[in-house]
Amino acid sequence: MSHHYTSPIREPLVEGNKTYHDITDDIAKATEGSIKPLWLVALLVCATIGLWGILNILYTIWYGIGVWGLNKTVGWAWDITNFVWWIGIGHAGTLISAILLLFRQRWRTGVNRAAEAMTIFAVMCAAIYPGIHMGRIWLAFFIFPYPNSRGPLWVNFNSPLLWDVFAISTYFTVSLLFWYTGLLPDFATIRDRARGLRRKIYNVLAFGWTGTAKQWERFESLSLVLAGLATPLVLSVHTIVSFDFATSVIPGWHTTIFPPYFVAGAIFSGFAMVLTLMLITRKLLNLEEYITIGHIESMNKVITLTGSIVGVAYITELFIAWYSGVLYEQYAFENRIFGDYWWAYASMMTCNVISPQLFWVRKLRRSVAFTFFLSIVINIGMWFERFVIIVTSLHEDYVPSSWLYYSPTWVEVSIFVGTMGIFMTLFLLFARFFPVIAIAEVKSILKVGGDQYIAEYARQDKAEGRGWVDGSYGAAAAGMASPKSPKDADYDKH
Amino acid sequence: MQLESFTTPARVKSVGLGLLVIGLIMFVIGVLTNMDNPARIWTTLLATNHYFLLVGLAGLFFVASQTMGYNGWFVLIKRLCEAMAGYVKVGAILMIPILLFGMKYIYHWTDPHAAHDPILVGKAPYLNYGFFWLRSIIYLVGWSVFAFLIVRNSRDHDSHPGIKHYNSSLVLSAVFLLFFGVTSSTSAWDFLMSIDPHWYSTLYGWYTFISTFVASMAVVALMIIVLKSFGYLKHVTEEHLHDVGKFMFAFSVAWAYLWFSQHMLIWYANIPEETIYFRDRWENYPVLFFGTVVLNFVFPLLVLISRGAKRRIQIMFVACLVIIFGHWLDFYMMAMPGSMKAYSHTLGHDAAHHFVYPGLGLLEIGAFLTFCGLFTMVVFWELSKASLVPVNHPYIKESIIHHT
Repeated sequence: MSHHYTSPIREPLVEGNKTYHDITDDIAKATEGSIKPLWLVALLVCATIGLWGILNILYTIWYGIGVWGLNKTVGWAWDITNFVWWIGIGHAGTLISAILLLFRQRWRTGVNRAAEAMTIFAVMCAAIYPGIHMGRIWLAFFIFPYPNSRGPLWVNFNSPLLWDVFAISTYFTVSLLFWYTGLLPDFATIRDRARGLRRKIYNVLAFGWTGTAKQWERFESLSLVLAGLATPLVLSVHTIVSFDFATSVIPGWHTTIFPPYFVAGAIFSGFAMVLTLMLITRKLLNLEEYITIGHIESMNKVITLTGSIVGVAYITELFIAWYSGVLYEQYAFENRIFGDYWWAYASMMTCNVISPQLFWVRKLRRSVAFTFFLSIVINIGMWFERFVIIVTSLHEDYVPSSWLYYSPTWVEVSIFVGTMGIFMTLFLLFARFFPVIAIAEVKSILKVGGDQYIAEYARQDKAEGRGWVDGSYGAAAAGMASPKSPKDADYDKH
Repeated sequence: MQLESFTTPARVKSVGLGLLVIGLIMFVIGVLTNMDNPARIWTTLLATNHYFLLVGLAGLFFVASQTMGYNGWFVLIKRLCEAMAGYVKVGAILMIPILLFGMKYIYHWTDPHAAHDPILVGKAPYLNYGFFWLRSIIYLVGWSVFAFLIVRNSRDHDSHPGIKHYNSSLVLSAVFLLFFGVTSSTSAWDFLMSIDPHWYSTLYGWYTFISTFVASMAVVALMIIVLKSFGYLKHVTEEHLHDVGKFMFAFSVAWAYLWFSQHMLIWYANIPEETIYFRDRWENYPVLFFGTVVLNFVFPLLVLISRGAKRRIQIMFVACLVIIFGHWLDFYMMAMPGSMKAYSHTLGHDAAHHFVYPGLGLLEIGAFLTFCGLFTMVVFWELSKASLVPVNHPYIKESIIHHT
């Protein structure tokens, strides 16, 4: 019995009979050579949109948040909707890196790097909104607790809004460290292939990594500590975001299911965004052998799971609102479904509850085009979820004379679109200058996930007459493990 | 890879039987001394039976979820979880007489006076005899049928090499998880939350589920320890125990997370209709109520956090016992206070004022031990029906060479 083994009924995680050298080549290649015109055009377009967003932020700061559509009852609208939406998107990376590690899901190595990058960029976009919605951004440092010259005026430690400050800044810090630690050996790999100034820059980025045993040992221990810290943080961030609403007594906000339901929703939207971006990236950078249909299918399953959890939560809320017998709770949900914003509720239900159920069909969850389409549908649906929670719970409050309809102004729309521009700009820069797939981690699973190895294990299993092998064996081996003739006869010696 | 047949060791049988007998004696004494308080007797039975039923069901959930997640390492302990699933039908059958005879004592909403309570009148379309029974039957029959189908399919695989049974297990698991996803919440509302019929919490269903899931992981670990000590499961190593330990640790924290979320949000918002649930428990059962947090969170957190502890048989053994008891206590605390409050109100104003809220007596401990014994006997009997090693499972070799 060899040291490595994978059941041959598993789909390969690395296709194309790759050697370790092939992996380095394929992934590092994207950071080398001249800049492609398509990338440059995309960067310019995204940066322009981002700039437009920044101009609108400056406009808001200059004139005050009166330029938004907020009114007497609706004090939070697009600002906090966008904040929660972005924070939610920033959940997939750390989940893939930390929690899927606990569940031993090896496919995470194909997408963790890009997902973590996305996490960091999404949290940066999210952080903009609480900052600007305060109105006087030059006083934003008031949110941090420190001995100050404002007399006894401290932050309110009892407020979940303050807990949010702590949660998000901790999450951002740990995610950044986790992401960057993983990048060190990969930067060194790129450095070793580079010359001149480029080599010097990547050497600095790699902290002078040389890959000695001691460095790897410390790398492993640090990764373990950071993964341990990141696991509860994945839960804590969106939990505390949900506390912002659930600690209140607003019907539709105050409900105990919010913490886990927000976390599930965040993972749901995070995976959708990972798919949206990675389906384009894998195509443009020719990474189909590293982010395989199997990877896409696994992510789609996580989407179906979290989408179903979110669906159960929606129905629970709806049922308990009726069951509670509280008039205001009942009205809040009646208003969501039949009120002025019925279209937002209907969009949310369709996009988040019904659409992920389509992935029960194997053909659909393995279709790249359909997955791409659905990932965008889910992104839209999760935006509507936050809009429904925030705006429909506020716009008709306890005093009917102050009931108002809220619509965004062009400034709010521009800021939202602008953060997408900022996000995409950062992602494009990442995709060009950073290894988008974790080179070292993919190498670490080659012997259990590479197709040529799996084909070998299939032959072994057949020779040893393993019990699952029968008439259908041929189909399993041909269709799933697809043994290809090794182009490098030495692959076993690596 | 060979089939590993299992016969329940005599010592396990006598421990199971011993627990059952001692428990029954205590329980009967408890019943005789509490004839004036039938609500206490029936609520104890309901909470205990429902707890063990759900622990067995969580074993089935674990099999189904790990099957769907293409888990390789757990294949060697799969049969233990399937044996737990074998208890579901026993718990389901026992539920029928408990509900049939005990319902009017346990559930305040069944009281004829409920017709004068405007809140309960509002809930009557959901909380009424007919619909409650219909739902109960759907849960109990549904869970038992899924347990039967999934376990049968898995056992059949042993004598039929091939991939067909594995593929069926994926389909069965997926359908079961859908059914379970809905019924695990709704059944928690019905069997437990409706004991406090005025009160409601959207998190309640998931909280109940997590509680039994941790306990089921503790049962799995305990079974591994016991079976290994009798020389069975020779391929199961400390690596497998470690992984089960990780689930125990992680989901103990997850339980605490949900406990805190539910408690803190209600405390913070301070809406009297909601806080009454916790106020009742704070004031009348402070030790037991906060004791669940110590047993189910503080203890596992401190004891199981290190890697070494999850691989040490002695530490895991103690942790398992504490967790199994702690989550039963959690169920007891979900059920008993609501039923006692309703009961005390039936005594008239003066008596209600002097009512002494029961703690853990012979009755409760007896019921717990009885069900421990019954559960042990049924699960080990189920375990002896099939090979301990699912020899034809496509991931069996992955599980054998598993190392962290």
